Amino acid sequence: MPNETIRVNLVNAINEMNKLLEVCNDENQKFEIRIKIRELFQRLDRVIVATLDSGPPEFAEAIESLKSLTAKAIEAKQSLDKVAETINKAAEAIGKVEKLVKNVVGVLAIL
Amino acid sequence: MKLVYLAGALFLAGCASTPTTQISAFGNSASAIAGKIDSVIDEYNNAALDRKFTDYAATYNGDKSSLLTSDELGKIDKPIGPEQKKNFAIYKANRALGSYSKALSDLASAGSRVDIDLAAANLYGSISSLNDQYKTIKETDKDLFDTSKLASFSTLIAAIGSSIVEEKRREAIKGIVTEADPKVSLICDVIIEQLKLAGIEDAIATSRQYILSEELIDYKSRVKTAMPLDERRTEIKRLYSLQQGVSNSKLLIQQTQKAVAAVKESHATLANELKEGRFTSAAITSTIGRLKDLEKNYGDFEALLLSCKKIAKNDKGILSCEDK
Repeated sequence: MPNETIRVNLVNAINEMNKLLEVCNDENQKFEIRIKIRELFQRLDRVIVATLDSGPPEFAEAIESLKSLTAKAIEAKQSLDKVAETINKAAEAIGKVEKLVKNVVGVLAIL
Repeated sequence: MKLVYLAGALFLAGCASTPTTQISAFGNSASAIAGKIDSVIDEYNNAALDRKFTDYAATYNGDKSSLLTSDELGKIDKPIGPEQKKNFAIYKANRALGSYSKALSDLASAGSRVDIDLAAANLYGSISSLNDQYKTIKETDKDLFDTSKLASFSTLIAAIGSSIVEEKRREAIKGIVTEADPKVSLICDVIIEQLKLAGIEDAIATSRQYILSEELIDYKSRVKTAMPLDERRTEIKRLYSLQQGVSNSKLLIQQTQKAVAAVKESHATLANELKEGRFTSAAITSTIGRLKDLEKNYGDFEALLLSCKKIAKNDKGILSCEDK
């Protein structure tokens, strides 16, 4: 279930970023978090219609990166000085997922 | 004299109700349910659009409002546009199933040779489409329907004749439904599987959760200034309703899966009854009743939960019916 794995991890990351957004007080950081949530959603929308190949090492890297982002967002909720670090983690995770979805030819639901 | 007229009228009314009326009713209900299944894609699109509108409204606020340009606005679109929708596996397979059901209904109720030919053409088209969808989704070269069997349907339909001999029509419908049954069953399974694999419920729930988060942030900033209790209560009710929307995200997909499973089951009942030569029976009436009920209560999640024996809630607060 490669799609499910990436999808579930994207969903977890977005939900934790949402929670971080709810507690963050800095308007500039909130702006950055929103942009990252938007970019994560863009990848989620593509994962919904794509078939991903779990073979390449980039797949595992993307999963790890999303998990790491989720963990960092949970941490940042407790200590808001880690918000900037979380935003950087989000950029990294988005880049890794993008590598997986940008050239997808075979698709699950779009035929 | 009046009694003679009445007897004549009753006789004619009896003729008007052909023995294939229930087949027609089945086809209509199954086709209507197939139409509802498309709403899953619409629900996903709508949830994504609402999320994007909320995102833009929240992001381009205060100092950041100057960043909103027509180029940025132009980036808002549905994840599955009309062109993509036409190619969406669930949509295509479901359309083929809907066309088959509708053509079956039309064949059962056709009043002239022209209508029969039209229904037959639609039936071939839908069967051919079911073949194509099945092959693409399952990545196989093997046809779902044996094309040589299609030729035998053609012979059966041609035999109905221009004066529409009911016996021949029943023979044709019986042949088609019994031959189609294992295939309809497979295509229903494929739709159910695709609904599960695509993860649309996750996307809907996550979009709704994001909207809820933004609404909470907005409420908290507004409530800092004096807001009467009555207004605060109204706001909390609105937020609660959004929360309910998140919790119910999976139920639409589950209801859709249940509806497809019901079409599969009803078609099997119909095929079994027809094999026994029964074109009207309590079993057919009951299965059509169930389809009609599902059609009527589509989107009524409370009814779905009430009929569910095992309700579960995951760590994200999403409700699901875990009945097997």
